[in-house]
Amino acid sequence: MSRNAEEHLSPPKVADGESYIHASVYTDPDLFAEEEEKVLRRTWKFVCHISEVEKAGDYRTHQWTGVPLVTIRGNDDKVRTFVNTCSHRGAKIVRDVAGNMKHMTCFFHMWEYDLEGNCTYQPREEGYEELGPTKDDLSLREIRTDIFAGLIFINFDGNAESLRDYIGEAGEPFEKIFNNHELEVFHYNQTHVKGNWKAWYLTNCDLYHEWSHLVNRTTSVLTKGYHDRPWRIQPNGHGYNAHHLDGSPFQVNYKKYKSWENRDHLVFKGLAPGEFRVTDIFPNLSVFFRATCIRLNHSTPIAPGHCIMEERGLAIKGESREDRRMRTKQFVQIWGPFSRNASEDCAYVEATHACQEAGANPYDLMSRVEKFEDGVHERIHSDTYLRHFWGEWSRLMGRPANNPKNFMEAAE
Amino acid sequence: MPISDEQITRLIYRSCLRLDAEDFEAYLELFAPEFEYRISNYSVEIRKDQRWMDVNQDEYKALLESIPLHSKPLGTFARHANVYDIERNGEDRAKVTTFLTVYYTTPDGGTKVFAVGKYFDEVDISGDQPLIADREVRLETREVGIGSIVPM
Repeated sequence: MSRNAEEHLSPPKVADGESYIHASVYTDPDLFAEEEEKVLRRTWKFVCHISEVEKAGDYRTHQWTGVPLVTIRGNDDKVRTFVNTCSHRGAKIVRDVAGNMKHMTCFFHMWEYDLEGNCTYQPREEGYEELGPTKDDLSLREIRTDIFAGLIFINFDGNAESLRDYIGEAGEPFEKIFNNHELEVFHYNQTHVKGNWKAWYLTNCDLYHEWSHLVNRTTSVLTKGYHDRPWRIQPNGHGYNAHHLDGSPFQVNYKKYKSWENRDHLVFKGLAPGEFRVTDIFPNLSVFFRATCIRLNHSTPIAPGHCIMEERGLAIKGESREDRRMRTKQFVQIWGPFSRNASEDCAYVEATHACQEAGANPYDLMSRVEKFEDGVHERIHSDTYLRHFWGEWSRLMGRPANNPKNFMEAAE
Repeated sequence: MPISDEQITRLIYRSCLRLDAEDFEAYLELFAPEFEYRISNYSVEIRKDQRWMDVNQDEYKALLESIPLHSKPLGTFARHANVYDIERNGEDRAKVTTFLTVYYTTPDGGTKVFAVGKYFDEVDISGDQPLIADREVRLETREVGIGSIVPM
């Protein structure tokens, strides 16, 4: 029997109030603005891989919560991030996406900054002698920057815990493997997704949706042992699934997909042939292994219904052309804009957002529970990580995700 | 009788029309055995050339056959091609450069440019009919929305 409007707008009939969220967390502009301040500027945010700023002067521009930023390696080999605006009139200093430079020059009045952020040149600087300020007062604002396993992160909050402490045990599935090789980025793609950044991230954490991917259905979901992996919930909103409960690896049978080969060559040291792992680092980085392929996936929130999704592929630096070609082929079979999976994921997020934005679907369910026989661990199709994510979000926001603006009380 | 430039040009245009129609069987008839197909571009973000698709004949055939089983964009793609140059390399091969614009029409009828780039084709002209022996779709566009499993 269908539901009427009142029934439709009422909270879902679930035993646990934390097993659903209100869709406004994806669509409300006020919540989005508050989230920028309370969540996004107070947690560690992935920027890029260390190979993208390999040499002194290598830089990568980006933005976070609307603030233009440049991450650059200094002459002292330290990687720093600066707010990418001139201390003079506020023009964006570094305008290219990536490159190498000896110093940063603002194109408006030719003020220069060195790679450590010091203001080093103003044309006819004697004009500031009478009123000031001096160049020493005009260095760039530096944003806290740190590196974990070759991944560069920033944090606007100078008082936040260290990056290593923040990631904690959630780094276990990937840190050692990343450190086993010298890695470099070989694949990059960004997509403007008409959806909320959290919805994108949570698509990487909702493995129940693998039923809908032909690739996953064929090679994984229906295979023995697929469901025998637990979610490993970690502090600070992180989580991962990497092994079966008995500690053995989960190996995907890629050969089951027509014309594909098994991934038992070029496997990263520390992984088993065909092994799959995913680690989700709050608020929005997912690190995937598919035996021969590593994918870093995150997004930049632009508006409640708009985020820029970025994906990077990592490979072993210096490997042969043949090996790189094979690794690339296998990567873009599943990820990238012309792949079998990533494009489908984008479609799921956009389809969801279109309905949420219209208020057509007031609640988002996350009440799946599939426990192991031990009664403690939850299997990978449980929504346990989703509940964990929203618990952390609610804690940081000081608002429950299932009723963030007291909509229910207001309706009464 | 040698293959003419007009036959080569018609081959390129037919490949677009058959892909537009998603008549994949007829589309594959335009390719020589053992062909390879790639989609590539230069990423300014990582300052490297990269490939977004790299398939051989069997893989490409399997990909096209699998499209109806995947979730693909519900709208339609239309390709506009302009053959810029045909450079013969002996009697057996010709290198063909074609400018390509791909339009995407949404289910509700709006149309937008999906991507621009070039086909760099190597055409086998040794037989009665020209056949595509190698195709590289070199994209200028690097942001293709939600992407597509349907090749360009």
